[in-house]
Amino acid sequence: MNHIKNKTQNKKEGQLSGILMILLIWILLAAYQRIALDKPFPYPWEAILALLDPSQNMLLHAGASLLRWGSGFILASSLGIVLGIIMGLSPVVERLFSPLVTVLQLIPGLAWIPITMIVFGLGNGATIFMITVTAIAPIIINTRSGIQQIETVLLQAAQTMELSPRRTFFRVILPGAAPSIISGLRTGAANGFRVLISAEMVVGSSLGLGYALYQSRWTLDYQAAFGALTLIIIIGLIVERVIFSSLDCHIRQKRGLL
Amino acid sequence: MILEFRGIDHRYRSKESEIHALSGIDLKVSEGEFLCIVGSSGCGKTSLLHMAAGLLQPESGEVLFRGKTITGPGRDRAVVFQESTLMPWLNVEENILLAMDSSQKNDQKEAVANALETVGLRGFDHAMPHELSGGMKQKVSIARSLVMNSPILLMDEPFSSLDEQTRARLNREMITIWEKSQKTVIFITHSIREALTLGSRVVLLSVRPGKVIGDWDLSREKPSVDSIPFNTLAQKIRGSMGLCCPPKEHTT
Repeated sequence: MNHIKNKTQNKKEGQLSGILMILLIWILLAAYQRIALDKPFPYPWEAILALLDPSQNMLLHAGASLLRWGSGFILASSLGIVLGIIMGLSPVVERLFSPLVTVLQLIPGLAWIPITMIVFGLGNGATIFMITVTAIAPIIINTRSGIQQIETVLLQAAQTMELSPRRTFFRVILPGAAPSIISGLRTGAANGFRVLISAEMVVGSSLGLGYALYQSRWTLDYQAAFGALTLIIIIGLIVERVIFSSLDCHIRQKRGLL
Repeated sequence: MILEFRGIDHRYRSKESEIHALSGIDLKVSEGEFLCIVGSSGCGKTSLLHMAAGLLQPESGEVLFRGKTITGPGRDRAVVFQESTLMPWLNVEENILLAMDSSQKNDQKEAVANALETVGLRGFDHAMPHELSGGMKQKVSIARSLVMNSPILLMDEPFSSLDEQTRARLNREMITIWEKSQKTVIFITHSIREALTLGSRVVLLSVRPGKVIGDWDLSREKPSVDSIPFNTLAQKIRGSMGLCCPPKEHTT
């Protein structure tokens, strides 16, 4: 147990120095741009200050973005996991939906803009639709393969114990597929997050980090733009490193895979 | 008669080839017997066990359990598989509880404790499977099959992946469990020694197609391990398997 703790400790330290590295590069780049080229490249602390400036409403923008991303992601997860499970269990459904999933996977997020505009116009619905549609493919694919990769002998054991369908599902199939489902959710969340920012730039209206980022082009308020970027990165890091990473770690540790 | 194989014939087909796995198997298993089925790899002994478990349907012939044709798996026939089939995400207690049906709700904890006691793993209730050695995992699998209260235990080379010492120890413990539980056991193995140590009856299968080519009843006179009659019988079985004198063209 001790060496596992040490490992996590080391990992945390590694992550911290990774973040310091990003800051260092930023500071060096800003210093060079400013001193040598006389360009208004903001330092990290200026960006943070702009972020906290109440007149910029950045936290409001962030809140609006998070809400859209959360809704789109929850929609994609529930639909994706259900469809992935059915496809994993039924070869007929799998054959029926496989081409659709491949197509979904191939279309880059922004290519949905024309369809989105026709169906949803501008605004929340449009952004949420684009997030859902880009996040869902990896969730379906990973859930399906997680279920298909469960060892046959475990299913045979469940059969010989005559487990009810419900127990087989919740005690054998779902936990067996869990690591794969989580990795699908991770990819889906990241895909959704990327398209969120771009979607807000194009089909967003009045609020959202992407919208704020795009607006700063016209207002020449670079500090606010960098502030928005910083916030985007921080939120992304928290969701990926803190939430998904620890969930994944917990599951693997319990099974002795770490 | 608890189990009966009647005229079993089975082939495995793939695009390129066809393997005649089992041919004309007629075998009757009596209540309370410890039947060891021994044969080289590929003789179809696992297929035979899977048929009794209801995981495989024979191409022709039928397997009867207490006079009724087996059509699928059931709680009246507990199976211990070759590899560990404990759910890696459940601890020992949860794994054993999984095998209990809801009618056993009242005394579940007690039954788990008893089963673990029987296999000598008291106090391991909360261990995760990955924290156990291979032998301990198979013991938990045996405990799990015991709580199903089935009259018959089907064991498919359960100790074949264990080291020699662990295997010998588990063999001794298996005999105790059998004597205590009064269950019928069908035990598949490729080790003649293991078969003779455990079985009250030993059946020998030939290879491709698998046919019964020997049947020894040891219930009345069980030779003690490594005694002269034990070794003589082992030699005899080895002879029937064609293992005593390897064909000359295969010498290296």
